[in-house]
Amino acid sequence: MTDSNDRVDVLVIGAGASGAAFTWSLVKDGFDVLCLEQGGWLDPSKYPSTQPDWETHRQTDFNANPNIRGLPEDYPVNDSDSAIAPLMYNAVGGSTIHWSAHFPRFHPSDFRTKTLDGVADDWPITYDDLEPYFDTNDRIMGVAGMTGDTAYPPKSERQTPPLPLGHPGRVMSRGFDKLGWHWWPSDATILTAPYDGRAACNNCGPCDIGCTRRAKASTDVTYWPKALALGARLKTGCRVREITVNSQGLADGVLYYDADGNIQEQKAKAVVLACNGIGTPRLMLNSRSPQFPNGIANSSGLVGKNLMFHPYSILFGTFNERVDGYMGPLGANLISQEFYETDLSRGFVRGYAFQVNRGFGPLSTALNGNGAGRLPWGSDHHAAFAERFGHTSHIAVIGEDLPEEHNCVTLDPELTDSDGIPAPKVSYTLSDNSRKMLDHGIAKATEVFEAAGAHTVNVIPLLRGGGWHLMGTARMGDDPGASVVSGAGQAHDVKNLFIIDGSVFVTAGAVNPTSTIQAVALHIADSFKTKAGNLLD
Amino acid sequence: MPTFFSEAQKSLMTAMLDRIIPRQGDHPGAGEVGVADYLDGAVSESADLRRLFSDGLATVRTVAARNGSAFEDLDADTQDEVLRKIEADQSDFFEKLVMLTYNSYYVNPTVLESLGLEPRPPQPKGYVVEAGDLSALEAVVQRGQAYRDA
Repeated sequence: MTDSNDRVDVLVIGAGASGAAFTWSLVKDGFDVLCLEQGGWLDPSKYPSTQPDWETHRQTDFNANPNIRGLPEDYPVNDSDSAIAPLMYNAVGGSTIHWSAHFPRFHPSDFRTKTLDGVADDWPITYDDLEPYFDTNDRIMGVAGMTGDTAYPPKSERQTPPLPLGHPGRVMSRGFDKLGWHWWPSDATILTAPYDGRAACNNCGPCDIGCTRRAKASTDVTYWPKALALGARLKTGCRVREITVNSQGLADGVLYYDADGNIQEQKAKAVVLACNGIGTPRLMLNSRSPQFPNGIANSSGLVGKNLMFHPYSILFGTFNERVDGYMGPLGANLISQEFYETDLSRGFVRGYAFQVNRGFGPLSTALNGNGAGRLPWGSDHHAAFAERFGHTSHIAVIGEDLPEEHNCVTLDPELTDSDGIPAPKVSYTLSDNSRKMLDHGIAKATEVFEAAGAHTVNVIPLLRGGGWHLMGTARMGDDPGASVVSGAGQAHDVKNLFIIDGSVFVTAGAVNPTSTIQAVALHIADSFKTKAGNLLD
Repeated sequence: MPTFFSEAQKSLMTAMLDRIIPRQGDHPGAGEVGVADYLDGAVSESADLRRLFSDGLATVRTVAARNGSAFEDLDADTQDEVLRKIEADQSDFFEKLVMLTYNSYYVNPTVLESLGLEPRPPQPKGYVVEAGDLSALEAVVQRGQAYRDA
């Protein structure tokens, strides 16, 4: 082991959505920041979308599930006790490498569920607190969209015009219009015009296997080049085993395995966790010491508890007319928030959104039959394929999960990563409220498809492989007995330990979380700067 | 080139593949477009798959022999019957075979052309997608604020 006396001021663990934003904010104001990332840099020119067998990479080395992908930099997740399989990517850029870059914000009501609806808890921060950070983040990531959405308070001008609706958008918006329901072109961090040195999207389709044009924002092409130019240091291939503590019970640094598998020590004046809603509690629970026998900063017992995904139902509508959904960015094309806010007459509290997505390429169509399972083999195969390919659109019903302590991340007693570090186990069951919410969404989405003219609708009632969004496992709050960190991301128990990823979310909203994760990280960064005098002396 | 399968096994698999995705109209059969070579490569990489496929193919031969002939020489309907029996009795093998077949078939340039698609990856060319008409949003705007004040 090398004992590094080179104590850095701020050590950030994880180079994904939140770690990149936080690091940029700090180095911009002259702070000394080192980031450790277990993955490496990816070369966008080598992403599978340039290769003839691009669709097979989605089943293998570019699968969103780390257990299927199984790359050396991945860690396994025991998800056998979970109704939803967690997804993530380990690289500079983190899960923004494989995301669909759908970029809605949480609503003002999402931060006030206790006050408004008597469920979960209010956040210690509000939409208004985050508004300037949403705005800054939009400028760095680059958002395609259109102002005037009635489902949100006013937003500033989007960086580029919205993504093209395409044929699927034309067909599906017709359904919403007939019903008189809300829809709007989704905000997406996918450029439709050159911006900040990045090219415009050319509608190739599979955003989830990496964007060769850098049109889709991933933090390796947005925040990181800026942060590195400003003096940030980023070391890849470094997998943190535990956070060390000193005799005063403060974070002292970390022990990590370098790219050659050797254990190293890095000392720091402040430690910042940005490892996602599973990786962060895993690392905290792995950081046990005499002062913190149950894991660092865990006096509340809530580290790893209250795991929230967004449960998804998926509906596939098949049309006689061509929809050609394999062209254009895969992710949400248009979004409907008609059923987002609470209406107790529906039989559940809180709400959901419809993400109206495009469609899939030929292989994905053959393998999942657009929701009907793999297509039949044999003499009926070609007819089944022809009926679906290019003729389907899909709606994802994304529901708000409420926090429940029994949904949690713990350490698996046996499973480890390739460095021998205990791996996480995820336990999750779908609540009655969430089930009722999704069932309502399925019925309403079916109405949309019928209004739009679909002849067949297939339903996946709960998408098992849909754990993109990992939230709630080290939540923020004012009460140290009922939360892990403050509204400024500072651990109640360890004043120089900060958490900036989706772990700190108090509630989950019913939209993709990344814009809110990054706004929270930027908010925490500004708050950190005001405390720095005390912490970094 | 990996050569896990014997020539006899490849010949059997090719005949099976032509029933899993048969030639029809402009669409080639899966046995005609090199899927057997892809399977050879995929299966040779995994001890589990090697075992699964060796056993599976042997069973196909046995079941076919009960019909008094090698699988390759049976008529199409009887071949389908044999495969349905394998699907029922050896579902792990058969599912894997079908999935791998689709994985190879639907990235094949000849197949993509038969579907009316350009046989190329999505990049670097991309696609042209219609911008769409956003004028209907005027009705959405008219309905007013859709979020709850907090």
